[in-house]
Amino acid sequence: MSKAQIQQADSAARLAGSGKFSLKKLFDDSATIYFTICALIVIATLLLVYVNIGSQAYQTFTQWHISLTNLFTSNNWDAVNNFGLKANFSGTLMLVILTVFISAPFSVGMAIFIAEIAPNWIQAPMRGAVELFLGIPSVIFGLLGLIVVVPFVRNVMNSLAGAYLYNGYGIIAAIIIVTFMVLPTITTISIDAIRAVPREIREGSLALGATRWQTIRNAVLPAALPGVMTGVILGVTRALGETVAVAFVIGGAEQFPFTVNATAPFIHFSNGSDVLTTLLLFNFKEATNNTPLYSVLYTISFMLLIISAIMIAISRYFASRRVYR
Amino acid sequence: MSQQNSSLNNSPLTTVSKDGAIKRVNEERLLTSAETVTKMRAPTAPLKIQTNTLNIYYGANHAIKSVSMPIPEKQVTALMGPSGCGKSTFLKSLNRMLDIIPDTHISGEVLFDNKNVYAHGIDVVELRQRLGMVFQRPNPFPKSIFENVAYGLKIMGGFSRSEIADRVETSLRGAALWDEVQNRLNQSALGLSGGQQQRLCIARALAVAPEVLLMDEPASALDPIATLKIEDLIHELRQQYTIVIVTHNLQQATRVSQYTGFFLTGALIEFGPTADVFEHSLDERTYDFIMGRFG
Amino acid sequence: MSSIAESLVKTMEKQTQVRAARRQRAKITNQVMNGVFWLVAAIVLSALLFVLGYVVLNGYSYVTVKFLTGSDFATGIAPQLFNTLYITVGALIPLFVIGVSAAIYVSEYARQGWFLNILRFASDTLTSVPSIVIGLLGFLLFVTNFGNGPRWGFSRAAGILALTILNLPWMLRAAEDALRAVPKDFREASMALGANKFQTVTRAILPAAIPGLVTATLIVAGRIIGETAALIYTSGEAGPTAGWFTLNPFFAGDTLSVHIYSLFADNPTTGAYQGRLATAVLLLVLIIVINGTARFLGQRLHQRFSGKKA
Repeated sequence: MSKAQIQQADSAARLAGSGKFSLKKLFDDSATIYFTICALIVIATLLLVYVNIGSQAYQTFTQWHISLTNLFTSNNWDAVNNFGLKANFSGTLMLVILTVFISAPFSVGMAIFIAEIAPNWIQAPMRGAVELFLGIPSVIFGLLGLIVVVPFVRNVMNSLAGAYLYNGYGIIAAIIIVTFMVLPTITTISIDAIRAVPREIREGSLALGATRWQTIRNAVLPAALPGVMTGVILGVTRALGETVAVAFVIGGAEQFPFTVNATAPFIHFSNGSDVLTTLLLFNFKEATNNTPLYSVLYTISFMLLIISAIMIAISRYFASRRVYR
Repeated sequence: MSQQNSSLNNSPLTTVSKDGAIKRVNEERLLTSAETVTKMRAPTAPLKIQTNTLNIYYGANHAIKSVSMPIPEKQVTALMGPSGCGKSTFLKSLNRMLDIIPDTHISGEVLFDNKNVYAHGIDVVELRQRLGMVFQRPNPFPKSIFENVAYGLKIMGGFSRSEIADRVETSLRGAALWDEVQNRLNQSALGLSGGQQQRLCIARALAVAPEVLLMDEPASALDPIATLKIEDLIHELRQQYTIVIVTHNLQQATRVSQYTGFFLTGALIEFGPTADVFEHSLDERTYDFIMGRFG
Repeated sequence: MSSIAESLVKTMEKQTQVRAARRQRAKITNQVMNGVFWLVAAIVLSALLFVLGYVVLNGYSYVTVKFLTGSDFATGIAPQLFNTLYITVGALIPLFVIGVSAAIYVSEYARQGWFLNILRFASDTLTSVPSIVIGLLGFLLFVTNFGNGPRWGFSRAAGILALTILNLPWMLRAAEDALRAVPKDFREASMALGANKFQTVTRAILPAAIPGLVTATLIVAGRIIGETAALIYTSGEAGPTAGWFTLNPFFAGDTLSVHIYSLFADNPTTGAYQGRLATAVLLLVLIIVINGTARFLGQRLHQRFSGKKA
């Protein structure tokens, strides 16, 4: 066949295909519909979570007539009639805030080291190590907490107190463990944020006579700050939602993480307390349907959903303010 | 012209094919055929910087080959040559910005006010404050316009708030940017146009009162109108500062500079007053480059 | 020289001295901070090594053939190994199908606009849901019939579905990264040859993205294997120790991770300590191998597309 003949046949085939039924087009159209449906499934999944947890949570107020203020202001929890969450809320608040405050400086320092200071040959293995750290499951951290951190806390606190007062379980052990878990989360995101700052910014600063540290502090970190903050907020979300690792060391007692009184050392840490997530984990075992406990546990779940969603909204805000990607 | 044409025909470095077209010559061959001796027409003005047999290696790559070059005070010296010829490397060696590139080795000396900047005990931080630098692409910090110019002053420390405000204004005026930005000093510098950003970077460099301005193709990322503004600014700045400008653009070199150095594969081929270098090249390769034969 | 000029010179001299002192201080600060960063890195790295080293050194001697093949609660791990494999593969199938398809929608079909914004919002919000909450949701929907009587009871199927919900946004994100790593030229070249969108996706983009998708799947597999809280109330805290060697999805079964937790929570009289450590060693090795492979593949891929080393 000559070239002209081939062209003729081709254009004839194209003409025949256009406007008529075509298997090729049918595939193309149904594929578009299929991929769109799969995207819709993701949205539907979110609705599934919120609607179902929400509808159970709602019964606390409609069926059992427990008021929201009661949940927040009372600290009396007996899992049958009284559902005061004040102690657990304080536990969660203390865990999240202290964890992030302790781990954020270390994480950002680590990220600065890996992205800015470490010699080239260390950078890749260091980053690999941090990512490895990120992948370690929370049960492993929990187990280590149980075997290492709890005895450590017990020994240190008792020797500080000068008497055997503490069993080592409680908020302090939880904070230590979760700090280690949050660290790689903030570090990896901060590394990306720092790496995204263009080399020209560093050169500009160095050329003005800044030292490397001045360059990091005054030029690189401010430019990377929104990205670093995204990492910090994700660290908050992880600390907030962490359950199993905390469960190993928290002790599971519905009391305030610490009490303050007039005798030295004034702050007395409780032997065992609880946070919202572990409260769910420990109590759900006993909860049966059509009891107030069952509904209250779903109400707590819904609260966790809302708080996490707010955190994500904040991190999206910081992400939208990023100058360099 | 006729004299130069005849010298071209005698040159062993260009080959003329049968149909009369002059072929571009492989640059490496050019260098191996010639030694690193510079055709020098020494400047009469007093010198601010002088390099002596400066050699720079990136790992095994010999980037700058035994360059000895004078840089006269309060003049504009243009460094030109094809891309990859080492002119930017040479520029960055003057204020030791090469220090931040790993695996770089330097021998020879760079005399700045007769002191070797690579000598032991030299304060690099002070050196960089005295030799300001403007980069190829505008690189303002993601801060406000004011903060950008004040950056160097805050790094130096010891300025009162009003002193800083004064210096910022003077520098912005010096960079011919004040009129455009005086009402939005607190807005982000990233909102400025490319040309304005580059002038902001010049203002930022001026704020720390340098003696020398090193400019690495400062207009290459800009449109023709912004380029013209930068060139006008360079004319203004020459009254007070010694300027070294790397440029890819031959017309720009003739427009802004009093002296020109021509680099090829890391060697300084020719140096002299710009008019002389362009109109009476002492070296065939300079002439070929100016005539657009390669690069 | 007038006195004013003299004092001016003096001030300037003093300023120069002050500047020099400041520069000196800045340099010392620089050195100190340098040391601080090395120290921080050393502390964090040694903490990591401690975590790995402590578990492995204390636990490896308990990993015996008898432990691997036995099925007693605290002294055997065979059912947990089987369940882990079953649930991981079981969850990866729907995750891969839906996750990759949704990622294809996002990277190839979606236009910027409200729908894509909602999708991103949904995906981001889903990543934030604590896994224990997904566990309670799974209990509600799959284990019981909305709390009113049993549906499947504690079962592998319930665990698989809970893990699917939990990891869907992560799979979407990882698969999207894999698809976006395919150079734009591939799409344009295919479209320019007259292929329609579906043909471009199936014949040009997907084959090029396969290594990336494998990496994405491995990353998600690592997350699944390490997950505990979402499974305790779906696939059950402690599975039966007999009859577990079945493909029946409605059979209860605990994974390695859940097993470590149940050996803590149920606190059997014998073997809990050894069982926990030995299981932890297995789990760590598994996770490290999977994540290491994912990382290695990811780097190879980066080299292939960018033509340079990562």
